[in-house]
Amino acid sequence: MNEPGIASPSSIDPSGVLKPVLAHVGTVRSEILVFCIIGFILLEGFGLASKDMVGEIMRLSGVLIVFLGFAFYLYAYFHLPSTAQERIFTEQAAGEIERTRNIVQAAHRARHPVPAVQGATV
Amino acid sequence: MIERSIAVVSGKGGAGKTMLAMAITHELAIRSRTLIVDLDVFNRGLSGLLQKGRKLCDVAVPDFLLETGDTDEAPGEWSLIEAAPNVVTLHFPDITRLQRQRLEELSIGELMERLDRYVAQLLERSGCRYLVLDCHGGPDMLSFAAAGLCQRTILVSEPDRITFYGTLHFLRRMAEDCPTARPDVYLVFNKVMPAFSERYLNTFYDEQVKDLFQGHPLLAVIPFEAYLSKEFERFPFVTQVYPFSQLAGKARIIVRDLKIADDEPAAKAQATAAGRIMNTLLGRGVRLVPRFMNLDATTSFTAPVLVAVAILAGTTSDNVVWGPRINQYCEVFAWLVSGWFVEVMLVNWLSVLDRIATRQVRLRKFSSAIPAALLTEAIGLLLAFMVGISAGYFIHEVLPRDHVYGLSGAIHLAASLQPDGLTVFAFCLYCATGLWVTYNLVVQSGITLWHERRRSEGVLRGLGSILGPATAIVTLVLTCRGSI
Repeated sequence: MNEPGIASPSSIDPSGVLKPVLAHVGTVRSEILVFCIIGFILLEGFGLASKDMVGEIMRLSGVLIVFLGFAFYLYAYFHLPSTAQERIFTEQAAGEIERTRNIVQAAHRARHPVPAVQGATV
Repeated sequence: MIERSIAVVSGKGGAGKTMLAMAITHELAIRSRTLIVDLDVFNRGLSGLLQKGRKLCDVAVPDFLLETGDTDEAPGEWSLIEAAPNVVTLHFPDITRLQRQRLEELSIGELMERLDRYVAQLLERSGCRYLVLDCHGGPDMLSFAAAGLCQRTILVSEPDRITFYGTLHFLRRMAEDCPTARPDVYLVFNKVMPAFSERYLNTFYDEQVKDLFQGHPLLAVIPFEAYLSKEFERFPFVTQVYPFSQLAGKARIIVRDLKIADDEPAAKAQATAAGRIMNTLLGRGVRLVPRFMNLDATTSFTAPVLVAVAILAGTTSDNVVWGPRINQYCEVFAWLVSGWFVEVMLVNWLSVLDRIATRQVRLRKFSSAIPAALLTEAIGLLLAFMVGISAGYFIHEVLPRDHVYGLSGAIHLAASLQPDGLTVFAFCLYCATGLWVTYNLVVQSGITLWHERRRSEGVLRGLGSILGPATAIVTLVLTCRGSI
């Protein structure tokens, strides 16, 4: 079972290498977005100052950066833990939940045993 | 099983179980007569809160506290009292050491059987339709018996390691100790801090623990409201005094979602189109205040961003070629961030003032209620005036004259990523936030008053709510025409 709030590894990270990193970067999504906007402001300003091809490339890079920033923000909003507390709570609860599930299921089975199938041989 | 009954349990003390039980009781009492019983016989928190009231009748000591053949030694000390209109509670003295021993010796099956008989007798004698059992904070036999008896059980938890560990422990103990089928248990996350979002907790619940609760959805996520914790000591029915609190809204949702009152007027309202719309709004509207509207979170975020923008503008201002252009963007960005901060601050101030005014009205302290309400209205009107005048100035002076206005024009401008376009984007953003805030403050309070059948308060609030948008529109029109 995936950790809640963390995207399925197969969607963007087939090997699962990025999973621990993804769990952390969601908590700084706003800061990344601000960084991208400031980057856009700088590149846009520099790009407008130079009238040649380099200026156009800079302007385009600025637009690309700000769109990437927004895309990442939306992705993080829907798929990643937003705060360190959410991430830590997820990690800490996992083991205890599994233990509880096993005990509850065992108690349920003990109360409602599965009837033996007639004629079955071992 | 006892029909129309709710047991409120938790894996650990201090999770806010009693406050939630009282909020649910108040909500049920709006519909019909409700009995609330303190089953936390060791701590007796609820009994301490509901000490006063009109005595209805004496009742016998429950037989699960007596040895076989014992006689009821002090019958007068166990009685039913009417603690508030439509709310009845059981008044009883401290249980003795022998009674405690007796309770601990009983098997869960025997305890359930005797508790069932006793509660049925209390319901009959008090004439109550609904029952709420407030249990001990932690796994004990009385909690398991109550969970087994009641139609619905609410397990109150918090999203922190210690309380959630206690919650899981409660589930394990109940699975092992409860001989009957698994009770109908619903989870509520209470006292949720802004660090946790409602969306995250719902995802966490659905993916990790839903199967432990028979596949039921997460019942509610209730934020921590510090002022309620303090006021709860003074006013047991705190949601009556603070009807627009998140706790009051969530209690309404809980009662609706548990479907124990579906033969009531609420169900009749559900049959009409207006009732269904109200119900949808009720369900969708009561949510945690998003983090972007939290004053602390906003302050800690906007301050460094504004400093960064100021440094950027300062370092580039000397350059005559690209400096002015960067400064233009910095200016828009700074307006965007500081405008957001100011909006959050004002909304928070207004919410606090509105809360104080409502509290005083509900307590009938009109000498202080009227100034508080007038101040709230005055600040609201001032804000509306400012919004109107700045929107009018923006349309009249800032936007290029040859541009086609309206939504398509705004989107076109915003997509151009030019300073003018970004200003339009910021303006649209604040309009959207304003609409959202209006929805929360006005519509939610309207629903609450409609639900509580408080028509006079509803009319006053409605009038106050109309004045704000009216002022904003009039100011906007006058500014556009150049009259202001």
